[in-house]
Amino acid sequence: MFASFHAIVPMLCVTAAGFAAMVAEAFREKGEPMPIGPLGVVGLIGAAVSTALLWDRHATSFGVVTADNFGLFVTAILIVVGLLSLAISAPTVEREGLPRGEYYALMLFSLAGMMLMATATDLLVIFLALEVLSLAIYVLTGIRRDSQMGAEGAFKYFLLGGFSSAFFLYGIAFVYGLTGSTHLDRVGTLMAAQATSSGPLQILAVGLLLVGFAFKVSAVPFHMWTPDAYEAAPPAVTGFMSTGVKAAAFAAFVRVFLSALEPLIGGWSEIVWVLAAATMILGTVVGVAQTSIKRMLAYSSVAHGGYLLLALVSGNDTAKGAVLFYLLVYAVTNLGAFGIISVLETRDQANDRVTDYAGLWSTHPTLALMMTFFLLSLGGFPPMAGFIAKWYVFAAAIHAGYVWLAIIGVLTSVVSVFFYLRVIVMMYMSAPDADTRTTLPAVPQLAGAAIVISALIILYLGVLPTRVLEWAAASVSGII
Amino acid sequence: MGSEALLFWVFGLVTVVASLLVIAQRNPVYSVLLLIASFAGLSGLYVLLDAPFTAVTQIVVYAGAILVLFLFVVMLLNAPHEDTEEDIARLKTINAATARLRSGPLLFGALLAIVFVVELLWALRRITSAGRFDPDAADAVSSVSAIGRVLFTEYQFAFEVTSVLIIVAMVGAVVLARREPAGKKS
Amino acid sequence: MIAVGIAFAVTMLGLSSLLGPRKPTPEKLAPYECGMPPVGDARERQSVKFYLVAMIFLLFDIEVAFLYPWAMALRDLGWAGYVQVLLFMLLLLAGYVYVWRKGVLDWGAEST
Repeated sequence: MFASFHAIVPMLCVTAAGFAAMVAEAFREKGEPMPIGPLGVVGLIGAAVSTALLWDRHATSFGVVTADNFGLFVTAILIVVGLLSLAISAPTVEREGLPRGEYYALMLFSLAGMMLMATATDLLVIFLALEVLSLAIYVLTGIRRDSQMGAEGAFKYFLLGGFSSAFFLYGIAFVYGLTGSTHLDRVGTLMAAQATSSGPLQILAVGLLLVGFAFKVSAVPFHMWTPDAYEAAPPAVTGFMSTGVKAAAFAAFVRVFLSALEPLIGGWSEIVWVLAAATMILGTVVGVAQTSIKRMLAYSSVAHGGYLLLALVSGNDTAKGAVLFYLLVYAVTNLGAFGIISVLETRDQANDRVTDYAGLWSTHPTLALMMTFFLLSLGGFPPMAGFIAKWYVFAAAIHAGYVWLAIIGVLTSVVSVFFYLRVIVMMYMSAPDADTRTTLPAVPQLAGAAIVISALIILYLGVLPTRVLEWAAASVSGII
Repeated sequence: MGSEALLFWVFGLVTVVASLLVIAQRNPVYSVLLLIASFAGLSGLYVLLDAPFTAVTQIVVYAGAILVLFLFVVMLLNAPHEDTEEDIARLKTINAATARLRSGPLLFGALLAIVFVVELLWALRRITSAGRFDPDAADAVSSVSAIGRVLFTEYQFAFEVTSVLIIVAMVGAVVLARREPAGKKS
Repeated sequence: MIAVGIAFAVTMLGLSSLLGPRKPTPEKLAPYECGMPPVGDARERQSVKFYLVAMIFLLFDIEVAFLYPWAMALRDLGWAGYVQVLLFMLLLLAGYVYVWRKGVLDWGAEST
């Protein structure tokens, strides 16, 4: 019995840290400082060590969690996301006076849920993991109790998220009805046996699961919650949820659709094709019109979801590797960008309009430089990691014969450069407002360090991507 | 057999009519009470399907706990009536943008619901052989002790994950409903 | 028999509501409140505490719902099932301690 525990050790470490944070908060006297954030770091380091030890072992726990290299790669991404998020969150928690034990506990529980979602091989466990991570994130979105916008955004996110979970669960019920199992490999074999008669129930099951996933990865037309939730949440939380949820959801998406539901690919590939195209186009076009950086990045996040869908629809091994690499690059880049937004926010001013960034170069030159890196990487400019990631995704799509989709991808990323460049131009060319100069706060050390580290990772992945790309490519063989 | 069919129609009718009345009510308290009636009807249907545990859980958890929570929320918000036409009209004149925001998702939701129902009906109509399930297999998982056996063997991990889910919900509820406003705490 | 019973009840209720005399006065229409004249509206704004307690009740209610099938399959499951339930209960105990220490269960006026 105990031998089968190995595969869940990474998420066990994180969950334990979450519980420790919760109990520590319960026994904390009012005003007593307690290093709860570092507790999370300890848990994540434990998770990182166990992930490294599990690499290539292919451990399975309880028959429902498989620590194959694909899941472990995503777990590693999530650990990076977690560490950076904790560092970026620390100043926010202090500044806003957020309930610190609960904040970190929810973040850690949510991370554990993401890791579980990435490694689970049973639809029911995937659903539970999805719920754990979503529930924690709904609360984190609305954790600023005094902000009306926070409550509204959290509420919208919660309602639509609950709705999508219901769809997902309904889809699982149909899959169970068709195959009598929720386990992915059994579903896969039974679906393959039935694939000759791809009946209406199969289509319904696939459609419902697709809706559930599309909500979570904010694909058009299920993206409506994205800008509101991203704007409402504290930027540190936005950074966390935009990257972590995407990584976990896409991992499960790939696992479910490219393994268990692969026999039905003829039924869903066209739908995903349309979703991918619509997501890329709408995310980019609407993104151009935004004046708030947070909303702009929200639409950019939608568009990036579209590029990932493009890889998903391609479906070959190159594409799966491309998804992993893309998720890593996107996670680090977006966290860095939201980290900068987070440190520029003050207690009573969001400072998130594009015009607020005018003249950032002369007040915070390092931050401006870092922001340039992140935005260029999001836009896919050559020396940055974002370029390599996009290049691989498009290459995979062309390789799989989806030339038109790749063309849409290239065109939209060219358009998207416009709105990233707008911010960059604002930072360097415009003079700072007389009063912005005074309102922009000093940068806290920890968050600053996290931002610099993100930028370094992006540069490294952009200039010397081979090693990580090889890892990503090696991870995709033998997904269950 | 005849009485079973009769009971099916009675419970089905109660469920459907109560559900329709839930959305037709102007007073949210009545909506909640009708929802309880709808759940009670569902519970009767579960009994007819030889799923007594689901039926009892439906009553204990849904009709009991969840709807009590609904009632508290309705009373907490102190919203005895839903927006009347006048309210909506006023809202429209005051804030056209808000009204547009309301109608957009509403339309989308309605569209989604219609598509879904049509697809479901179509799928169910196409299934001629209802007996995809082995009746013996269904019987083996419906009794309470069988559920216990499956839950604690095949789904043991999922069961433990549920506890974490409950904890997250607990922490979330406390965080969102705590009384001291943010900022007062250290 | 059931049909006869239902029909009888429906007929009686229907007849009494159709034939019964009706003379409404304000006193008759007022809600009955221990015989005292009613004060204020029935729908007062409730404290958020009620909501929290209801929420916590719901969560532990779900916990109990899980215990029932375990109890029914106790002998088949043996110690393995016991260990699982123990773990489940311990995890929720941590939640209980948290809720307690947070003062959600305090009902006194002096609690902060």
